[in-house]
Amino acid sequence: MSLPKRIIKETERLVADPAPGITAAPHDDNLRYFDVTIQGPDGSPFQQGIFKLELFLPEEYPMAPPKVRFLTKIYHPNIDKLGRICLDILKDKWSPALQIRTVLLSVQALLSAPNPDDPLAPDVAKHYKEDEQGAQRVSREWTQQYAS
Amino acid sequence: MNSNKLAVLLAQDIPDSTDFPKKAPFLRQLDDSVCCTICSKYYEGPVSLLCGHSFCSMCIRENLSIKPHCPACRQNATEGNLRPNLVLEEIVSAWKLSRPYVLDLAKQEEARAAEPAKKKRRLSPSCVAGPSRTSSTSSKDSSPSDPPEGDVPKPDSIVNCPVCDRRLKYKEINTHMDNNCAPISSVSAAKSGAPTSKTQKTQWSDLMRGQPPKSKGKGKDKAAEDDDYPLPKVSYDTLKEKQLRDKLAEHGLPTTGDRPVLTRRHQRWTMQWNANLDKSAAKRQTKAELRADLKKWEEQRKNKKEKITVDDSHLKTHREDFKKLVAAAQPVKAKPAVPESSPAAARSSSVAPNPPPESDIIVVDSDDEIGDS
Repeated sequence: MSLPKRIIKETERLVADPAPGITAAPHDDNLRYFDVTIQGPDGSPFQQGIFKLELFLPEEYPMAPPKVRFLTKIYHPNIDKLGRICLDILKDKWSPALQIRTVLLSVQALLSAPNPDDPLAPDVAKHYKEDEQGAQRVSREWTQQYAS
Repeated sequence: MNSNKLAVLLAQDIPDSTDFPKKAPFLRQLDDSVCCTICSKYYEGPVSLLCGHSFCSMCIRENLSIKPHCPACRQNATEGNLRPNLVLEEIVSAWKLSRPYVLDLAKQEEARAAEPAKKKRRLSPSCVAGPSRTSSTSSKDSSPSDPPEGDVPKPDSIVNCPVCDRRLKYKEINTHMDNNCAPISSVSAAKSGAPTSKTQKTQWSDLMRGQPPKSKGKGKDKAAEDDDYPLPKVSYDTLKEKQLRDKLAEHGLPTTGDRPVLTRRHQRWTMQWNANLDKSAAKRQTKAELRADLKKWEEQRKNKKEKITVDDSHLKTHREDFKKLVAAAQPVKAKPAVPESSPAAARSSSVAPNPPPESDIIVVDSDDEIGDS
């Protein structure tokens, strides 16, 4: 039994009882590789967008964090143009008590609360800091254009 | 897309709190709370940290070797903080025994609720039978309050000794305990033949034998023999390779491989050994079992490495494709001054080779895994 029980259990629950606004399904040829969608949270510029992500559980999981990346283009100060996400729990604040579900909920929360003070996309962050309204408008446009 | 393997995967019968009906959230909660949040399995040799959170000994030891804090609350923690949580261990074993029964009851209840017409039937007798079975296991666990709750047992009724768990008559229990849990027959023999100082002496020496083993002489060999003592941490950098091999040999472990391999082997062994000691004596693995576990772990690691080398051939066969991709990506790199103009290109080139090389490795990996299982 080489796929850890924990991963099987998590998969079972993600499929049977998904978190609201989030879906995650493993690839059939690689059960550590998940196709993920996250709904843009209401009240955020990403509202009504459906964002695609990929999630990969490395061999060391849960001792090491999952690798998560946006596949859909998104205008967000903490997500760069390659889709990489700046989120502490995906890096140094990872803890094995976290799960795929909690990680994806955190990513969803990040969409509601962009943090331009800790940017991954400096130009977007600058835009957000100097003209939040304008930046949000761009985020909304991108959401309409790429995520719906 | 998600057909065969996923279906096979999900069809496996792995105990999970969702086995319990949704209408019994407290049972789900109970089932979850006896599972380690790191491995999701029932606690094995549970230990607590200073903050009060508990994990399997092996899980937390592995984690603490990477990050020195509690996975649940991030409070600082070290291996020295770990304390076996014996009560939790007992709860887990009692729950494992009672779970199928409780699950069955919960399902019956759910089925009954689904049939609206029929009213309560004869579920109650089985209900009564249930807790009694559970409590028979748990009464053992709650040794401090042992004389069964409520009335004092009759002199001839059988009770468990709170110290050694032996079953004896209530009237004999005090004598038994006063005599350091000696079997009652020998106690009465001693009583009849006047308690000599000799027996006391042997009793004292019995007691003292629990103390650290003769630390004189070849301390190393003794430590290897004594199964009750945790292994200290070793600063591997200060050891010569020969010393490291000797250390492994002491425990009957293979001494093959280069220095990093030897170090990792000894580290893992120490971790397994100490985690094993956090279990109650009856649940501990034997040395041979621990050795087998270590071997399995090493083989798994080796397999992983081999798979990566297999992947080299994959790189070779797809060299042309990769060259093309690199070529396609290079113009983007060449003009970093205008990143805004080409995010789409960058994105498509990075996303296009759909399963990234990294996951290619895993494809091979998981194929094998499924084949094995």
